[in-house]
Amino acid sequence: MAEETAVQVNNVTYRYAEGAPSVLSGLSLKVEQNEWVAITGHNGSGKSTLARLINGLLLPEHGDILVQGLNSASEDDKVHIRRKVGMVFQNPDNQIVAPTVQDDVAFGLENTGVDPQTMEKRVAWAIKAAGLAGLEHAEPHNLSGGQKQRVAIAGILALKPDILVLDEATSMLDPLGKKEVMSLAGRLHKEENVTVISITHDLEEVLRADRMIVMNQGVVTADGKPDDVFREKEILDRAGLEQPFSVRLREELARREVVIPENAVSEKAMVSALCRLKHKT
Amino acid sequence: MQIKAQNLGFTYGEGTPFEKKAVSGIDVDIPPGSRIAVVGHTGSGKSTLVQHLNGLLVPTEGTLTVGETTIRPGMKQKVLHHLRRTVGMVFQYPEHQLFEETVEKDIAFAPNNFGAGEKETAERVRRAAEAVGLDESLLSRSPFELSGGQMRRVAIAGVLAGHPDVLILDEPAAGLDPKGRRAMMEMFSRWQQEQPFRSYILVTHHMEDAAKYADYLYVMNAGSIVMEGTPAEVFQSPARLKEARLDVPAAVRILTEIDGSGSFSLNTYEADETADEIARILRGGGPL
Amino acid sequence: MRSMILGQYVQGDSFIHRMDPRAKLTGLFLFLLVMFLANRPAALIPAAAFACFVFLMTRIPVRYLLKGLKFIAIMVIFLFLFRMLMTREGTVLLDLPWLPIYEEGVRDGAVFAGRLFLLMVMATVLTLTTTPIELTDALERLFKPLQRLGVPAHELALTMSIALRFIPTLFSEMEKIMKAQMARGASFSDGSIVKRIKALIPLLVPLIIQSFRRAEELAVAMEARGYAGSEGRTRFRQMVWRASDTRVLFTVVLTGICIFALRG
Ligand SMILES: Nc1ncnc2c1ncn2[C@@H]1O[C@H](COP(=O)(O)OP(=O)(O)OP(=O)(O)O)[C@@H](O)[C@H]1O
Ligand SMILES: Nc1ncnc2c1ncn2[C@@H]1O[C@H](COP(=O)(O)OP(=O)(O)OP(=O)(O)O)[C@@H](O)[C@H]1O
Ligand SMILES: [Mg+2]
Ligand SMILES: [Mg+2]
Repeated sequence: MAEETAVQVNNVTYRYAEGAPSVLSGLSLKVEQNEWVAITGHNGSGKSTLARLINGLLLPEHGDILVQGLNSASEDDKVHIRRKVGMVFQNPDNQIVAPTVQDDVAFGLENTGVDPQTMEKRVAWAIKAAGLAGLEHAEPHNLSGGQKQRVAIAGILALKPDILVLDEATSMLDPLGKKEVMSLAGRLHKEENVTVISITHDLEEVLRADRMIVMNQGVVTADGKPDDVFREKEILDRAGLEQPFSVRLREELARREVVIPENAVSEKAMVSALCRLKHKT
Repeated sequence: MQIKAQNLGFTYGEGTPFEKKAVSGIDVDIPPGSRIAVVGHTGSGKSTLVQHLNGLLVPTEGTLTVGETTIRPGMKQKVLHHLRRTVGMVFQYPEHQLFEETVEKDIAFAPNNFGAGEKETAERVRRAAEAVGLDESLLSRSPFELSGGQMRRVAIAGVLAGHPDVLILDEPAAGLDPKGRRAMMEMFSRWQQEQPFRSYILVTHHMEDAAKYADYLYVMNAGSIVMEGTPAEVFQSPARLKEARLDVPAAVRILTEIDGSGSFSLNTYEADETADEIARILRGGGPL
Repeated sequence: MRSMILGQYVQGDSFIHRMDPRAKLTGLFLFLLVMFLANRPAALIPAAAFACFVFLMTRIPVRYLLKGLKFIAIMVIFLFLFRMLMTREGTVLLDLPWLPIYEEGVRDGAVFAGRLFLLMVMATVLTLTTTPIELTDALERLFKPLQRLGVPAHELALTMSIALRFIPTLFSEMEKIMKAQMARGASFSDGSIVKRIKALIPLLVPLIIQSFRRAEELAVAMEARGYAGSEGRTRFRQMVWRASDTRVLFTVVLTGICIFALRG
C-alpha cells in the first residue's frame, strides 16, 4: 500500500434529491497515503457530504471516488472500502450502538465476521490504545463527551483502518476532550501510519494538518499548506473562515516591524523566536 | 435585574439512591447591565448553576435572589413562573426546541405564553427576527425547511421575543463556522448594549469568547466556583486555570511566555492589541 | 421506584451469575410450565423450595429481594383476593352476606397467586443476575432456529439492544426539551386536561424530530462500520453451555416431578 493514493475524488457532483441544487459540483481532490489533511469551510459547504461519499455511504451523480484504487461505486469494493475508511461523526451519542463500551468496540469486528478469539484480542488492544482501560463495562450514557468520542474511535481502531475521517469529531467537546481526541488521532497517524482526514471549524485544529482544503459552496477554493492558505484573507472570508490567532498575530507583528522567521510556525516556535528577540534588545 | 446567590447548592435526585451533588457553596453577584461568562470543563456544574436563575431548578441549599424574588430550598417551581419572563434562556443547540408550523408562530410562542396581546406579539416577533438577522420573507416558512444556521437564529429570536432583561446563553455558537460564531456573539453584544439594564450570562468552554465577550468571569470546577474576576485578573493565574482543566486564550499564553512578570494588559484579546503589547515588551517595557 | 427491582441488575460472580443466559431463560420457561402441574397449594412447595435455593445461590442479600418484592407482593395479594371472590364452588367457608367465601375459591386463589409470585421471584432473579445485553443475546440465539420460518430474531434482538442503549439518552433529551420550552413560558402541569394535552405538542414534536435525526445518524454510523444484516456476522460474546447448566434444567424437571407427586 506504499505509494498508492489514499483517496482520489475525481470531478464529483452530488445532489440529495433530483431537482435539488447540487451540493458538490465538479469537486476534485487527492489525499496521499499517511497524510494529515484538514477540510474546512462554511456551514453547508458540503464537507459532511464529501465524507459520506468517501466511504460509499453516498454515491456520486457524476465522477468517481477511489479509495486506495477501489471504486466506491462498485458493490464488491464497498465492503473493502468500509474496512479501510473509519469514520467518526460529530455527535458522540448517535454513533455508539451497544450498551457497553466493549460491546460497542466489537460491533465493527462482528460485522466483518472476525473470529471470536481474534476479536477479543483486538477489542482489548483498541480499548487500551484509546486510553479507555478500566471502562470496558461502562455504559455510554455514563461517559463524558470526550470519552464517548474515544469509544467511537476505539471501535474504528479495532478494524485497523488505513484512513480515519473525523467529521467535526471534537466540536461538541470541551478543551480537554478536544485534546484527548486530537492527541489520539495524532498518535495513530504517527505510530500506525493512519491517513487522517479531519473536517473541522476549529482553526487551531487545522493548523495541525500537513495540508488544508477549503470548501466553498461545494467546490474546493484553496488547497495547500495551512501557512500558505491562511494568508489568503479573501478566500477565507468568502468561505466563512478567519485566520487563526497565531497567523493574525504574525501579520500584526510584521506590521510593527517585529519579524518572526518563516519556519517558526507553531505557537511554541513563535514564542521562542520572540523570546530570542527580547533578549537581543 | 440584580442576581445574587448565597451559598447555593443543588443535588439532583435528593433523597434517592441516585443522589448527585452537582454544585455547592456558590456565591455570585450579578448587577444589572453585566456581561458575565461562566467557564468550566464538562460536568463542572455550569448548566446546573444557570438553570437556577430562571427557576428551572430550585436550590437544595442556600438562597438565590433574582430581582425582588428570593428563592429558598423547598419552594415550589410554580411560584417562580414569573422569573421566566425576565430571565430568558438559550439552551445548547436551541434549534432542537423548534416545533411550530411556521417561523412566525414559533417565535411567538414565548410572548403568547407570557400574555402579550396579539398586536404586541406580532410587533415583538418582527423585532426579534430583525435582531437576529432573519429576513422577513422567512417568517411564513416552516422552520424545518431552513438551514442549520437559520434554525438557530429562529430559536434565539424565540427567546428574545419574550423580552427578557437577562439572557442566559449556554454555548450559543457551538457548531457554527468561525464567521458565524463571531456574528452570533456580536449579535448578543448588540442586544445587551441596547438597554443599560440588560445583562447576559454566557456559558462556554471557549476561553477566547469568554475573554472577548464578558467583563467578569466565574470559573467552575467540580461544582464550585474556584476563581472569579475580570478576564485580566483570571488570566493572571494560568496554573490555577489548568487545575480547573481549562486553558487561557492564546494571546495570554504567548504574552505570559514572553513576559513572565505578567505586567501586560489586554482588553479585546485580539491579535492587533496583542501585537502592540509584544512590540512594547520587546522595546524594553516602557509605560503601559 | 426503589421498591421495584424486577429489571435491575446486581453485579456479582455467583454460580447463577455465571450460568449461560440461554440456560437461565430456558430454565425460567420450564419453571413456568412445571408450576402449571400444581393444583393445590401444597403442590407448590417444591417450586418454592427450588426458588429459595436458587435465590440463595445468587448471594444477593435477602433483604434486597424482600424490599424489592413489596410491590409485587401487594399485587399478588390483590389478585389472590380477586380470584378467591370470583370462584364460587365447593363448601362455603365464611358466609358473609354479600361475599360468601368458598373453599374452592381460597384454594384456587392461593395456587394462582403462589404461581404468579414464584414466577415473579424467578424472573427477578433472572434480571438481577443477567445483564440486559446478555438477555437479548440469549433471546437472539434461542430464536435463531425460527429465523428460517421468517422470525427476524437478529433484527429483534438488535432493536432491543439499541432501545436499551438509547432509553437513558431519550430521557435526558426529553428533560432538556421540556426545560427549553418551560424557559419560554410553557407549562406542563396546570390547566384542564385538554390544555395539558395541548401543552405536550411543544415537547413531543421536537422529541420525535430529534429521535428521527438520531435514528438516521445512528443508521449511517452503523453502515459506516460495516453493518449489513446478520449474514456473515460473528459474535463477540461467546456463550458456553456447561454440564452444570444442563444439571440446573434437570433440577427444574425434578421439581416438576415432585409437584406432580404432590397433586391432590
Ligand atoms: N440528508 C440530506 N438531505 C437533503 N439535503 C441535505 C442533507 N444533508 C445535507 N444536505 C444539504 O447539503 C448541503 C451541504 O451539507 P453538508 O452537511 O455536507 O455541509 P457541511 O459542510 O458538513 O456543513 P456543516 O459545517 O454545517 O456541518 C447543505 O445545504 C444541506 O442543507
Ligand atoms: N438531570 C440530571 N440528573 C442527575 N445528574 C445530573 C443531571 N444533570 C447533570 N447532572 C450531573 O451534574 C453534574 C454537573 O452537570 P452540568 O450539566 O451542570 O455540567 P456542565 O458544566 O454544564 O457540563 P457541560 O459542559 O458538559 O455542559 C454532572 O456531574 C452531571 O453528571
Ligand atoms: Mg457537517
Ligand atoms: Mg452544560
